[in-house]
Formats: sequence, structure tokens, C-alpha cells
Amino acid sequence: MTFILLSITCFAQAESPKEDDYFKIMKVSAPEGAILEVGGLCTLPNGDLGVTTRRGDVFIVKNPSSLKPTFQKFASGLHEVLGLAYKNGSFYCVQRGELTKMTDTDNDGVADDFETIYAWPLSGNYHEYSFGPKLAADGSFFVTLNLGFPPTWWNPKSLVPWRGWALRIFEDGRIEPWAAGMRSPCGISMIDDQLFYTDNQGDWVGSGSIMQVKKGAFMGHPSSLVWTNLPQSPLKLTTEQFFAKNQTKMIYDSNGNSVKPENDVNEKAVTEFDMKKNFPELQLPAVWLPHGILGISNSEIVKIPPGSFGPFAGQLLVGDQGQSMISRVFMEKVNGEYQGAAWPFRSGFQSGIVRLAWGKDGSLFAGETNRGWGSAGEATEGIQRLVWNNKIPFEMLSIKAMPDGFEIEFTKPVDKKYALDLASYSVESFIYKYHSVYGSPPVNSQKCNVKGVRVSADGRTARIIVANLRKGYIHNITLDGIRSQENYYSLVHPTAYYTLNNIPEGKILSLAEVSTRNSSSIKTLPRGQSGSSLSGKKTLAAKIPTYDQVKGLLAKNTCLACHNAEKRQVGPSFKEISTKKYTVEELISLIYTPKPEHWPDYSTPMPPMSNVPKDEVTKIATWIKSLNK
Amino acid sequence: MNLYSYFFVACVSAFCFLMGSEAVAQEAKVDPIIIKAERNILLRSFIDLDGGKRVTHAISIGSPLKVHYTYDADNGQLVLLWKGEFLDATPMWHDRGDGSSRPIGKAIQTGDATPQIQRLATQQSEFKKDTTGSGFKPKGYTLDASGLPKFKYQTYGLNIKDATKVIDGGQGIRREIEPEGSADDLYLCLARANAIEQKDGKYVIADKAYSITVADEATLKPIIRTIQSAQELLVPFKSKIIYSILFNQ
Repeated sequence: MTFILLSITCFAQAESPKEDDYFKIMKVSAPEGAILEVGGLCTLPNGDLGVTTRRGDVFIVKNPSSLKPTFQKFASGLHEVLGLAYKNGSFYCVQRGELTKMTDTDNDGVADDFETIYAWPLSGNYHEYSFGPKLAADGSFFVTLNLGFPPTWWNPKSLVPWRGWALRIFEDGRIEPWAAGMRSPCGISMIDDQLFYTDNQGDWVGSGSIMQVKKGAFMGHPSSLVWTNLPQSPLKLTTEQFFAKNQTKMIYDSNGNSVKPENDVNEKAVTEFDMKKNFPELQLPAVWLPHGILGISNSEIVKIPPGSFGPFAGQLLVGDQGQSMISRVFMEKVNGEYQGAAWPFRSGFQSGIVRLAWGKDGSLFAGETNRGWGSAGEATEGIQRLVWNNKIPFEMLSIKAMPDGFEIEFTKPVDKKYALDLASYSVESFIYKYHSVYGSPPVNSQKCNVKGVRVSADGRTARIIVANLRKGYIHNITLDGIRSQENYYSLVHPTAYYTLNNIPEGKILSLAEVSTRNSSSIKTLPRGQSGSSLSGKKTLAAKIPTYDQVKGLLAKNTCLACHNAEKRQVGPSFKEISTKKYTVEELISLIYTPKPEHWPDYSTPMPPMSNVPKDEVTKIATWIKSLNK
Repeated sequence: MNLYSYFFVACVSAFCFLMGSEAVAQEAKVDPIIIKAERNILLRSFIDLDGGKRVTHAISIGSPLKVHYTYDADNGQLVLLWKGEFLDATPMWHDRGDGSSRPIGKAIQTGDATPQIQRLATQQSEFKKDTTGSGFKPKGYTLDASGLPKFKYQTYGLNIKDATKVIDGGQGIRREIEPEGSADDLYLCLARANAIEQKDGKYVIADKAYSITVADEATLKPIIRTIQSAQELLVPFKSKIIYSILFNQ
């Protein structure tokens, strides 16, 4: 036994630590039989946790961080409660159709007064989910309202006023329509008393992101613009004005029914950044969370409080439902607008993360459900807790935009031998299309040369000079070659995604003050080129790759966002796909042009993956076929 | 929650169409999610009425006396009344669901999701289909010790309290609607049907399986009027009104 333990320890030391070596996912034991499809989560001043569920229950969890928390039912019978707040001794929750104040007037631990603060119209469409409330500094409330999904689901609609909007609601029931252009705004969040949200990828939303929601802003989805003619609207942009400037593909058949548009790989990509020139009201994402990498259905954003999660205090964490994961975000303000970097933070949760709330002990509660949509974590519901073990992982702490590149700060000193070598850095940029097609492949990708690096004396920061910076683009910064000074560990998460909305003014570095050493230029064949140079296409296609050989391709092309090798997730497992005995050619064709009708048991149709390069799709298809034995 | 159940629904319908009854048998394999009323219980959901109208702010109240009703909070109206078991929440809670639940068994439709208290300029004026112009505002409800709600709303400047209880023997329900203060020309519409017949101290709603009795009828003076080829049972709404809806069988 001792021998086995020893060898495991030795083995572990040989590898760089992973996220689970620092952040442990703990259970929050619920009563037997409770169905906790969590929609709302909030911490009370005494440390109790308020939990709301799809089934309309409100629980108060006492000692939520202990091994034996107790659940007390505070209210029940509500209509899909997707958010909870606490103010002056009362709970406020958002049901599908209203903001409700719940009070226990006789102090028996159960609510007996359910006051409707404001009821908004609903058409009764199943997709009219409502989120919030988030408390503003003055005690007013923000809620966000989903669009309805008609049978032509690729073209969601605002069927009644304020669907697709954020509303500000006052205690006396007055409302102030706040901003339009939302699609599926599950991630309503208050950061430093300012409203932010995450939306879900789909039509007009190429990928998830974090966005600030200013009064009168247009968040990008045009369906809600039908109500800007109402007197309360702070936004004047009309549907007609929008479509006059945006040459979108709204296709109708001869009966006037909407036809699902598909991505055209040959058209010139129009981005939100381009379109903002036409519509100043259009709010750009502060930080993109690339689809399939940092989630597929982003949810709540929380700010890490002082004293929690060590060096990351003050940064943001963002949940994701489909990928059952949390991403980390560093934001900075440049020219008055937010922008910043995002990294994966912790995956492996049991179910889709919908809500996040900080416990009084500094751990983070995750309220979970995949709510019939499927998620990487296979459980349908639950609550978990993320606990830091007080050890500092080797990570990029922050990335700040510089006039000529980026300044990267690390949580621990880097080894200068690697940090001063340009081969340790690689930067690419890309963006998503802004169009009526469901989702977007990454487009306009370009390699950005790293021309020089200056490392601070303490080894904590590396400032890189990057060629070809592009405003409005996501800069994918990968530091595979960086090692920590101590232990030569690689970064727990070596890739960051920096959204460059603005490039700051300031002093640029001269090449005289930086290292320009590049060890890769000495090698004959840089890594990465060998794979893509297809001298012998036939031999490649014939050779069956292993999982390890395709894993990188599956991740890069975001296949893994929805598919697992063995297990059902959002989509079928690769193994199950292989049992259909498609040929390699058929598989390639299905990757480019999926036929969701082949999979009636799955609720989420696969988008056409037209961005997967030919050589990569061949490898992937060959591998999938090989799984059927 | 961004994705698209309509796609799924479309697929399932197409599948059902292609496969005929076999697919129906498949659907029946879903374990139903049944809400029992072992004590007084309340559940909010969408509720569909005959003719396809969807009540979006519906509140259904179940009783261990096995008589249950649905209240439309958008209009302050009782819309459904039924006997037997309470609700089937499968459409709302299975898979992604559509937000609706449905009564188990056949419900009597006592309302059509229109405002039950309205101002009529004359006794020939029609009732409106919605609350426009009334200043209607739902204000929620309080629960008493037994878990029964008292609904609150504002309309025509009045605060209204509205509570319904199941009659002890389970013959029906008894509703009390009380305004704070009073306003002119307000009427409470107790029923709308093809024919309403006054018989043995009851108002028999001819095409429905129920009757209505009004407490203190002599003072309240209910009116049966014929309008738009339907009959309506109205009571001038000046003070508290108590009436009962009784199953005919």
C-alpha cells in the first residue's frame, strides 16, 4: 500500500497540477427525493442559502457549508422560479410572469404573504423564461425576459411587450424598460452595482459573452425592437432601421414561413463591431466567452469577494449550463468601456450550472440543472460547492491591453529562460459573425506575431509586443511554453481569450528593451505545421488516428462542447454515432451538413460545422468510424 | 436554456405522423408527474382553456376534499372547477416542458379569462375582453393557516379581496369578493352561458354542469341578461358578494 501511494505521489509530481488540485467540488447534501432543478440562489445575511427551483419551491438551507445542511421549505407552488434576492427581511423572486415579494409575517419559517410587485405580460410560449431580480443600489430590481420561440425556433420573437428586454422595477410596481436586444438572458448579474448579463448563443449571438447593460442600450438581438415605439422605451432604434442596415438572411418560403438560414462560408463576415458604426446604441460584448470553449450556454456572473479564492479576488466567475463549468474573467476599462480576458476555471460539475452564490465561508455555491437540454455533467439537478484549498495555482492572473500588445501577470514567478523566449507565446485573433444564422464559426482568423517580450525583474509579469492587433477581435493568447520558476510547472490553463474592444494610448516598447529570442526559429519544423502540411492525403485518411491524436482537433473545433467519446451529453457519444455505420465520406458530409432528424431523441440540433478544415474533418470522421467494432 | 424545444416538438410530431399509433404508445411511457392535494395546495402554471386560450398567470388550488379550481390572476376570475384528482404537471416538468399543467379529469370552465368585475355604462353594455381602462393590477395573495389563498387586486381604484373555499361536503366552492370602498356602475359577472335558468333558488347554468347560489340575494338583486346571443348572470358590485358554484351532479 505504501509503495502504491508513493508511486502515485511520484507520478503526480511529474505532471503539472490541474484545476482539481486547487478547487474541490463538494456535495451539498439535499433531502432524499428533493428535486432541486435550481433557478435561483442567494446568500442571506446570516449565511443561510436561499434556493429556488423549477418546480416552484423556495428552500432555506441552514448551515449550507456543513456536511449536514438542513433544508426548510419556505414557499411552494410558484411558476418556475429563476431567481431570488433578499431585501429588508423579505425574499423577492422572479416567476415566469411576475416579480413577487415573499414575506413570513408570522415568523413560522414559511412565507404567508406573496405580493405581486409587477406582473408582466406573457404570450404563454414555453420559452418565455424570466430571470432576476438583481438588486440595484437604490433598492430597485432588474429582471430580464427571454424571447419566445415559435415553431420556427431559429427566429425567436418578442410576442408581447418587454420580451427580450431588461426591466427595472421599483418597489411600488412602477417599471422602467431598461434595455432591449436580449435573446436568452439567463445570466443576469449585478457587478459593482452595475447591470451585466450573459446571453446564449443562437441567432444574432455568435457566441456567449459578458455584456454591460446600460440604460437605453441595444444588446444585439433585433426581435425585441418591435416595442421601441412604446412611450416608455428609452431606445428609439426600430426594426426597420435595423434591417435596413443589416443585410441579413431572413428567408421565407412561398407561404411566407420563415426558413432556417445557414452559414455561408463564402460571404464577407459582418461583425457586431462593424455594425456598431451604424447603431451606436449597440452594446458590444465586454468579454467574449468563445462558444464551445468557455461554455455553450453561459449563466450567472459573480465577482469574487475579497478573501476568497486567493489571488483571484475581485475577478469574475461565470457559470455555464451545457458544459457544466465555470470560467474566470479579468475585466479592465479602456476608453470608458469594459474589455478583458477569459480562461477556463473549473469544469467537472455534476450538472449544468445556472446560478452561483458566495457562501459566508468564502466557498462558491453552484445551483444546477440541465433542465432537459443535456449537459456535460449528467445529473439533472443539484447544488454543489466549490472550495479552494488555499494553494495558489500557476495561472495567468490578468491580461491588460497595451498600445503595442499585452501585459500578462502571473500568480507566481515564471522561469525566465522560457518567459524570455518568444516561442513560449502564440497569439491569434478571430471574431464571430453578427447574423440571423444560428451561431457562428470563428471567422477572419489571423496569426499575430509576437515580436518581443519584457519580463519584470520579479518574474511576475511578461509584456509582449504583438503585431497585427485588431480592435473588436478576440485575441487568443496561448502560453504553452511558459513554466513556473518553482517546479517548472506549466500553466493550469495556458490559453486566454482577450476581447480587444479598444487599444489604449501610451508608450510603446522599443525593440531595444525586449527579448526577441525565439528558439522555434532555430528548429527546422515548428510544431503545428507538420500536421497541416498534407503531402500524403491518402495515407492520412487510411491511417486510423487514436483518441489522443484527435482529441486536440475535437477540442479546437468545439466538438467536445456537445459530444463525449463514450457518454451521451448534449449530443450523442461518438461511439453511438459510429454504430450508425456511416462511411467516412458520409460522416464528413454530416459534420458539414448535420441531419438532426437522424437523432429524434436529442433536443438540440447540431449546427453545420463548416469551419472544420478538410484535413481535420477527415481525421475526425476516420476516428469516429473506427469506434464501431 | 437557449435551445429549442419546438424543434423537438416538430420532430416528435413528424415522427408520430410517420409512425402512427406506435409513437403514441411511446409517449405514454413517460412517467406522469401528478400533483396530489393531500392538503390545501397551490400551483401556478399556464392553464389551457377550451378553445385554446392559454391563461398565463393561472393559479390552481387543490383541496383534500377533492374539489379544485383555477384562478386567473390577470383578470381576477375563476376559470376552472373540477372534482377528483388535482393536476397533471407532466407537460410542465417533464423534459423541457411548456410551462403548463392540466386538471386531471374534465374541468368545468366557469370563466373565459376576462375580467370578472367591470364597469358597465348601461345594463346593455357589453363586458370587455381584457382589463384595458380598468387600472387592473394583481397584488398577489396571502395564505391563511390552512394554506388557502386570499387573492388581492386593484381595479377601478378599489382594492379587492377575493377568497374561495371548498364547501365541506365537496358539493362545490364558495367565493367571497370584497371591495375596500365602493365605485359606481361596477358589476360582477358570475356566469356567462347559452342559457341561465332561475330554478329552486338556484341559477342553473344550462349548458354547464353547475349551478350558482347567491347569498343575500334579496339585497344584491342579481340580473340575468341576454347579450350577444349569450346569457349573463350579473350582480351590482357595491359591497361584499358571497356566492357558491355547485356541481349539478
